[in-house]
Amino acid sequence: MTPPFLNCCSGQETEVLMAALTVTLVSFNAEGHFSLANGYLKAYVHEDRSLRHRVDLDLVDFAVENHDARQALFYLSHRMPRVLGLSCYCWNMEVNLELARIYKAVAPASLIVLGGPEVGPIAERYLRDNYAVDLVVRGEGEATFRELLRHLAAGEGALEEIHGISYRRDGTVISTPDRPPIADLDEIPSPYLTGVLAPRDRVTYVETSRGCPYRCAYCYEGRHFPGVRLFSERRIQREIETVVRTPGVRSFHLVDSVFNLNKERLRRLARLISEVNQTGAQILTVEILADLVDEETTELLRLANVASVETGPQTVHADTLALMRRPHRADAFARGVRLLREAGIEVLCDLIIGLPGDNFFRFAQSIREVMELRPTTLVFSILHVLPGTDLYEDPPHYGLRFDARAPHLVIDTDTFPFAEIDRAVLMSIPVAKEYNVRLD
Amino acid sequence: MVPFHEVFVGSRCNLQCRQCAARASGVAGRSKSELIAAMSAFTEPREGVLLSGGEPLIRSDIIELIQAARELGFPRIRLRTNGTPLADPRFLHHLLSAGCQHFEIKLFAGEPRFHDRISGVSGSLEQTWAGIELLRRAVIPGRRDQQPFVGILIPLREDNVTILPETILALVALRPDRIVLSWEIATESVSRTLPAIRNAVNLALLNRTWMLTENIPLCLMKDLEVHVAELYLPPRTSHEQVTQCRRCVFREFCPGIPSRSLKTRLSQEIKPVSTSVHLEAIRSLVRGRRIRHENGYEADGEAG
Ligand code: SF4
Ligand code: SF4
Repeated sequence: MTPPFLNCCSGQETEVLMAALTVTLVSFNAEGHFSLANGYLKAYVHEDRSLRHRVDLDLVDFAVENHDARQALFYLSHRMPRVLGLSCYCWNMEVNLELARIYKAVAPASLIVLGGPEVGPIAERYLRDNYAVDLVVRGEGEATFRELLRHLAAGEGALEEIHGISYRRDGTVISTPDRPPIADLDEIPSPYLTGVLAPRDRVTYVETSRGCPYRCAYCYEGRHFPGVRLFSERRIQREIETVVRTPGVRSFHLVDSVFNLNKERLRRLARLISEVNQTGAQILTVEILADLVDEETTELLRLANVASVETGPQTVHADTLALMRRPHRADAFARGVRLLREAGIEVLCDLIIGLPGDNFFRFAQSIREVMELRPTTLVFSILHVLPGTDLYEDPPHYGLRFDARAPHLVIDTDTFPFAEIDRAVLMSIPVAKEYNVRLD
Repeated sequence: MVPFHEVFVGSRCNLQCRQCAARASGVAGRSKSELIAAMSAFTEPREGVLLSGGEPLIRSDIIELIQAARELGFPRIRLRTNGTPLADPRFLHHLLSAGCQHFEIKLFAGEPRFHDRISGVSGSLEQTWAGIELLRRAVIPGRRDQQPFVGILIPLREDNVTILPETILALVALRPDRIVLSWEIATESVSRTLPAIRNAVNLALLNRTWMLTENIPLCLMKDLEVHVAELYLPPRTSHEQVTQCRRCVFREFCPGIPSRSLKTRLSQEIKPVSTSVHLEAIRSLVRGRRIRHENGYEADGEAG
């Protein structure tokens, strides 16, 4: 079993801050990863001079596959933070709620705060259903969480004046107005440049933008952060410089919903990355739309030392894609995958099982057609009907039924009965293995 | 669904299975150069090659054949084997290191009494089982996060079809990646065995194991069509349609029944299908399947 690792927990700091508000942000991640989201929160809080000495904030990461809520409680029981923040996604919600419940039992006076895409869109429901949860930060968390800590640690302002939160007061759930996303992303200090997070090989993520111009019906990003906001090129450059100069770091990832959306920016970023990437570190994944790939794109990706990209098509059926409002041009997609492969860039193709409009045979056809494009890796996932997405908000329109509880797996659709979805999942596991297990 | 080009390495085997089709082939062993020539004859794209027999693993040049396949650019090399030689961990390690990472283990039953009677060698199931267990624990050398693909092939015969549910229950405990039931019976009625086959499919699914059937026509697999292997890849043996097929909505893409079953009861048992809500979806799925035999690599959508 892998031990949880702590990004930051210096005893010295704790001693100085005897009277400070203790805050612990916990994240259950994929094995070996650390939470960039919590890194941002800490960096943003620390930037506030008035809070620096009033708040003693630490981050702790666990692996969702290997660690459980009681291990996290073991850690918390030594520190007994006054505020416990949990980073919530559909795939770690169960353990988060368990941790909230058992921590509340040992620390009834603590404030348990949830944030993240799983809880933001349905904050009131989480508060109503889980007595241990005290407050939910909705939407982009940095500014809201900092204001919340200002209120808690320095007594600034009233809770109801903090935009973007939902909480319980005297048994009633209250939601303040939404907070618009941070317009200038550079306002958020970099967790890498401030030393909040230490880059590590294979699991470091550098975010280049937030939001998406598209609005795929199953996706949270496009719906909640419409329009693309960019981190400045200067900032990206400095982050990558820091990451690649860290001893032992040979690779990292980029976070961008469509990295090749704008050719001009791609040109600039590729050049900038190649200039700062003196050590030749590889970019392990970045999401792109293969439809938009041409010869120049592949050259630029190579210049940036991108080793592999992740792309759709999610399904090959034009009517389903149209219903999902996902951009897709089959010929351009096929050409894009071919060009990428020819350029020596690995291509991961994603297919979703259970999209409204699909059925078993159509899914199987998607597999066959995508296999014929010879991507490096096939990735199948069952549809998760995520809170805040179009699918979640209007299931009758899509003829869709899904589990109200995270991870919100699709149950069936008017075209895809449950037994077929279940079979499709069972088939996809060996098919993925049969395809992906191969010699280089 | 990945198309594998199949190469028959010869019929020599360490078991003596009753009614073994390979033994009847009259080709004891093919020379290494002959096999390499057969593999080289496959046109691009070379997605995978399947070495079948007989028992490919008793060839002393098997590692060299695997290396040759690798040099020819096949990214996936599969062996169809009775699995007994895999019980030797060092040999298994050699195979995996040489580049063979896909296995299709052929067995008849999960009960030694039945299996060994058919294989003609007592103690053979125990060894096959040990081989599968080792495979399921193995990781691919140099790739700690990847395990070899382990499929099970059960040739259906008169003497093992009745205990099929027990066989499936024993097998799912080993967590194979996939189980294929292959109809090979010349004399038995398919209809009579269908309940056991359906039961087996459902047991496998309940135990979260994917299952396919081979050589059983679509019309007999009503409501279980998704398990018909021929929807995804063209049949492994020659198939033909029969007179009744003219009345079936699947006729334009269904390969029919195995040619060797033409004179058996199967040819009378097929039930032409008059309507199917999935006709369109199945038609577009079947169109474009790819061949996996020594005889080429062409689209084979309009068979039959
Ligand atoms: S799925 Fe991708 S392209 Fe579609 S809205 Fe989400 S981020 Fe944008
Ligand atoms: S074409 Fe013939 S063998 Fe095929 S499903 Fe129809 S009746 Fe059965």
